[in-house]
Amino acid sequence: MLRREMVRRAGALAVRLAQSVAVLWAAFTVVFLILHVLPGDPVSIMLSQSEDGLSADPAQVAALRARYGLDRPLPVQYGIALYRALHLDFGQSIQTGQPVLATLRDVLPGTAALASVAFALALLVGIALAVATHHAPEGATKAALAALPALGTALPTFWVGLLLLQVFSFHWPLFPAMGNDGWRALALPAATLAIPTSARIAQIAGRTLADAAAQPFATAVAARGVGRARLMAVHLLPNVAISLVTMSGLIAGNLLAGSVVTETVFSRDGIGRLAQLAVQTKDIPVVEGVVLLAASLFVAINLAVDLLYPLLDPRIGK
Amino acid sequence: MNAPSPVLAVQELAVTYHLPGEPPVNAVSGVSFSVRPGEILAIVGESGSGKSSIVSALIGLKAPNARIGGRILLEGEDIAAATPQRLRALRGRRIGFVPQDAGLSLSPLRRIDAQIDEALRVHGMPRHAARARTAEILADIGLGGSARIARGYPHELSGGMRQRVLIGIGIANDPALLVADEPTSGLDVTVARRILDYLDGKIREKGMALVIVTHDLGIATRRADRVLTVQDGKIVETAPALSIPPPRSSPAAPAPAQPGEAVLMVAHLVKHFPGRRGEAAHAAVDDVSFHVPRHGTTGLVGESGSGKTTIARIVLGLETPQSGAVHLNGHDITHATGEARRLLRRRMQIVYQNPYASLNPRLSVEDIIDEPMRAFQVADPAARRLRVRALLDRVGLPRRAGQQTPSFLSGGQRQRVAIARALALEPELVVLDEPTSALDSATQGQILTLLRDLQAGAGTSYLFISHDLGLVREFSDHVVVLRRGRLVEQGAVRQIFECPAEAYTRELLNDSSLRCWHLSPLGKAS
Repeated sequence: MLRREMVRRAGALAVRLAQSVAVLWAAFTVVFLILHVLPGDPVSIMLSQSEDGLSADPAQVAALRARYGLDRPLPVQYGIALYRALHLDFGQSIQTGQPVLATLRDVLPGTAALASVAFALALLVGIALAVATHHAPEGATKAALAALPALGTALPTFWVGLLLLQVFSFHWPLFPAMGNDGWRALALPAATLAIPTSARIAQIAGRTLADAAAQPFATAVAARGVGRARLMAVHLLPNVAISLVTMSGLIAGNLLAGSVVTETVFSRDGIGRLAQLAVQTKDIPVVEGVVLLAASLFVAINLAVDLLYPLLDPRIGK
Repeated sequence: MNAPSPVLAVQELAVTYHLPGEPPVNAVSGVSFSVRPGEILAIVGESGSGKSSIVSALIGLKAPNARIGGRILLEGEDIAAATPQRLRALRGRRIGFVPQDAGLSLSPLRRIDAQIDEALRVHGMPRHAARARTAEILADIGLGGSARIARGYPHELSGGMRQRVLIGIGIANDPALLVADEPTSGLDVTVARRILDYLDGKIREKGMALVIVTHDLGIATRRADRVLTVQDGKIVETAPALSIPPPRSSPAAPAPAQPGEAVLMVAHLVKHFPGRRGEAAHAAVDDVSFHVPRHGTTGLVGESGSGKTTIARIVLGLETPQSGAVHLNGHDITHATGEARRLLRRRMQIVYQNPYASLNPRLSVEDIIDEPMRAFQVADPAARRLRVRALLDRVGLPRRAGQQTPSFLSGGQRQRVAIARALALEPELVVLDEPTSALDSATQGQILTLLRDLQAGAGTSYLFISHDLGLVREFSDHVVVLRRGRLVEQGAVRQIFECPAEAYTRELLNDSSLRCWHLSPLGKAS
């Protein structure tokens, strides 16, 4: 019986892994096609940026195109790219000539630091806001608190970033306006990125709290003499944890998308800025690399969520 | 009478709800009563009568927008005027609470023993003492001995087990007052009886006072010392339980059906459902035969899991049996398919249990009633319209209700719409699947009267499914008792109710308010 159960679980895991691989392949293919359908040629873009851009030598262009394989038919290019990607070779950046994998490896820690600090901040602020809204007495205060998450998601990230720069860097020079060095340089970008994320978390947490508190068990627990704080911490917040884990793929997506704008505004090195530059210059291998990285992240998070569920919610699994 | 001083004395209780921008609503006013140690007081009323507001006030958990007037003296202390801190200390320690909805009233992500333990520890019991007391409580509620259950989560327990756990939590700290709010809602009759027996015993043993809130007059008269009837937030009657006549005490004598004339004949029906991986198949229906007399009613009785619903689904052609046959007017319809099956739907209709789920919320009432006639192109639209109006009249709904969507209607009105829809095609047989179990007792009576009148008028035959024996006795000509998919016994209603042959039937009847009335007239445990 135990053995059969293990076989069943192993089978389910194998299916999930196969699905993950399919998602990655689809992401790779879609990006490849979109980049090739878009107008503009990476070699011309690169040459136009060099000093004598206007007078690009046709022979030079042809040589470069041949070097990057851009003169071959599309299916062949796709086949080669896929074959290399399967061997973790994403080619070289057309702009810098550096291997894509090394480029990604260089900028990943910066974004990871930014995203994790922003996430921790957002989790703290978002849950605190949801709990405060839940406990606020009916009336103007509660209405104002309840409106904050919607406001937070509505604010454009670049504008928040510029505002924070204006206030905390230019007006009161508390934090550096740009750069990668130390936690002080991390403060403003992390705050910028945390605002929309915390708003999203507050929305999810608020809704789950309201649902859980309206269930009969909340009354039954209170009728045992359990106080508000313990009711919240022991009986209601675990429900919030479950719904946040469910949404963690979405939250990670928010963080990654937000990092593009944030890193650009604060001139930080990171995946987001790399993606922005690569798209601008149509640096196909780099864009492919960034997209595959993002897709892998998604897939990994969703896989982890599926595996984590039975631990968090006894009603699932078993 | 030299009675001990009351545990609870409620004086001129008033509960008022204040909504911003609206005049305050008086949910309860002028309610006074008292309960002595070891006494059981039942508060009876329909939904909306103010019962729930009284419960909230008694357990010190009023809604934030509710104001409480009057005094609630618990062991001499006015809890209506107590501070929130004081109330918190009293809740669970001096005032125990057994909620309704056993399925939803345990914290879903906490283990059973942890929830009992919590009830003790929040009132300051040290860890080791609480552990010992938890084990004691688990044993007392009949869940001791199995670590798997104690360490389990609420969803792993049956409804009856969950309600025991909730009672265990309610009495964990030996409170002076226990408030039980519909403690048997959603439970099978036999399980409900065991739960009530257990509560009864605990109250007498510990000398607690019990306030039991219910809409079931049968439970109230059988279990309580006194019954308080609440209507529109006021007490309309306080009486010792014995002086209240038993509910539904008019056993109607329906005209006996002509023998041999059956609309529906069901013979040797067998239906297995495949077991889960590796388990044996599960027999939902095992060799069941019965009939429904023309212009008559056959009642299908049994606890949940007895196969009632599966049989109804087979009759309606929604399930195919492995063997056995269903005859409608002498024709074998067991394996009818396609157009033949579709045409049968015109002759057999169903009224479902839950009128909140069985009506399309986006259609108007007229469209809902018209839909079956439209499907069978019974007449032109104008004629159908007239027929819809006539049906509305027949089920006692105002014509203007026809323009509305179901959300504007009460539960009873919705069930009337469902009945009108079932009758629209003038079927020979209507399956009534617990048609009143979602309704309160007064509405139940109205719906049953309506169904009986319609039967007298149109001569429809009913297959009536219920777990409520009182209803079955009142409503059926012929009774079929089922247990775990097998036929226990069947016969004319008087025969089954007055001299049941089978022990199981007698056990079932013992739960029924009717039978219990005759056997043990409110025999209070000594």
